[in-house]
Amino acid sequence: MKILQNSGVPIYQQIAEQLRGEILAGKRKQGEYLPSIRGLAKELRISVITTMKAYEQLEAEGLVTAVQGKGYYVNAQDGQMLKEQHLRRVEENLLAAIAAGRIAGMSDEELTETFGTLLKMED
Amino acid sequence: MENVIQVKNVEKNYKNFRLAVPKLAIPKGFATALIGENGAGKTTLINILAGTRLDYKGELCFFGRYSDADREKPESGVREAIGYTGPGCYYLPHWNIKQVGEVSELLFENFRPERYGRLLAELGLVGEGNPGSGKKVSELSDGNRMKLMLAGVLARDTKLLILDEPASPLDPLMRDKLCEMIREYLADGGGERSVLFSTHNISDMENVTDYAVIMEHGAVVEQGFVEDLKEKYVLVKGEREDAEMARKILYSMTENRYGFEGICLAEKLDGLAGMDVCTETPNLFQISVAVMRENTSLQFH
Repeated sequence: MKILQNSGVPIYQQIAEQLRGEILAGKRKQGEYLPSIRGLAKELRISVITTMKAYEQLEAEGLVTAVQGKGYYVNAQDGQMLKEQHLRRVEENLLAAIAAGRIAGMSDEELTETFGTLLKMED
Repeated sequence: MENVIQVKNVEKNYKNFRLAVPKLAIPKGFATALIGENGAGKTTLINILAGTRLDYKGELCFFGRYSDADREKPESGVREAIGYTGPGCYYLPHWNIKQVGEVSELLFENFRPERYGRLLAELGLVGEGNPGSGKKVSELSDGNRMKLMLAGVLARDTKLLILDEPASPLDPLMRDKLCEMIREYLADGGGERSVLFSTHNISDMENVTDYAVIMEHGAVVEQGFVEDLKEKYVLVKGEREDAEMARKILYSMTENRYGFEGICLAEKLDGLAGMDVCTETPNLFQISVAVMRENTSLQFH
C-alpha cells in the first residue's frame, strides 16, 4: 500500500480507495479479516484514527462488516452486489456531470449528444 | 466509545493561575495529545491525572471504574497500570542505568527486566553486551535521560502511558522512534491500551495523534478526534481585497501585503461565497495554532 502525505487527498481516503480496489478485484476474499486498525496504523506509520476512518468508510459502503472486538471482515461480493456498487458510482458521476451541465446552461439534448460523442470516442 | 480517564469538575487554584476542567474524557485505545502554550496548565493537569499532584478538587475515573481515591489503593492496581514520565527525571542522579532497572523491579510487579535490557539496547543507551550500564543518571544528556525513562515505563506491562513532553529533549530521529514505540504500544494492546502525552512538537507527533485536547489559560478550549477536527475547520487563502469581509467570517486570520490566510469553521464556509479563495484541509499544527491564537493573551501584529 502506498500513502502520499502531501497529495491533497486525505490519507484515510487513500487507504479506503486501495482496500476498495483490492476487495472489488477479489484480491481480498469474502470472510477475510482486514489488518487490525492499530496494526495497519503501525505499519503505515499513521495514526489509529485515520485507519479507523478508512475502515468506517468501507463499512458504510457495505464492503466490510465490523465485529466488536474482532475487527473488520470482507463481505460477500456477489456479482449482483458488485454490479450495484459500480452502478451507484456511474449514477453519482453522471449526476455530477448533469449538475455541471446545468450550470453551463446545457439543454437535455446537448447533454445527451455530448454523452453519445464521448461513448463513440471510447470505441 | 469507552474512555480511559474521565475528568469531572477538576480545579486547582494557584496565586495567579487557575486550572478548571469541568469535563474531559480521554478515549480508550488511542493516543491523545495535550496541546497548549507554556503556562496553559498542561503539566498541572497531567500531574493531577498521573497522581503526582494530589491537592486538587474534583473527580477522576480511571479505566471506567476506579476513582482517584482507588488509584491510591495498591489493591486497585491503577498505579501499577499507569506508566508516567515527566519533564524532570524521577530517578536519583547517582543511580546507574543498571540500578534504575533493579529499583524499578522492586517498585513494580509488572516490570520485565529482560524487556528493559532489550529497550536499553534498542534506544542505544547501552552497547552490545551491556557496556555503559554503569553510567550514572547524572552523566546522561537530557535526551538520554528521557530515553531511560521511556525504557523504564515501556518495560512494564501497563494499560496507560501518561507522558509529559516526551518529545522535547529528543532529536528528530528519536522523535520518530518515539512515535513508532507509541504505535507499537497501542497495536500490542489491541485497543486496551491508551497513551496521553503533552507536546509542543505538534508536527512531529501529528502522525501518532488520534485525539487532541487544546488548552489555554487553565481551560480546555478545543478537543476532538483529529479526523473530526480536520472536517470542522478549513484552511482558507484569499486575496487582499476580500480580507476585510473575510475577517468577519473566519475563525482565525492573518493578513499580509498580498492576501490573507486563515482557518474557517466548515459550517461558515458559505459566507465566503463570491470571494476568490482557495481551501485546503488543515493539519493539526494549523488547527492548534489557530485555536491557541484565538484564546491567547499574546499579541500578534
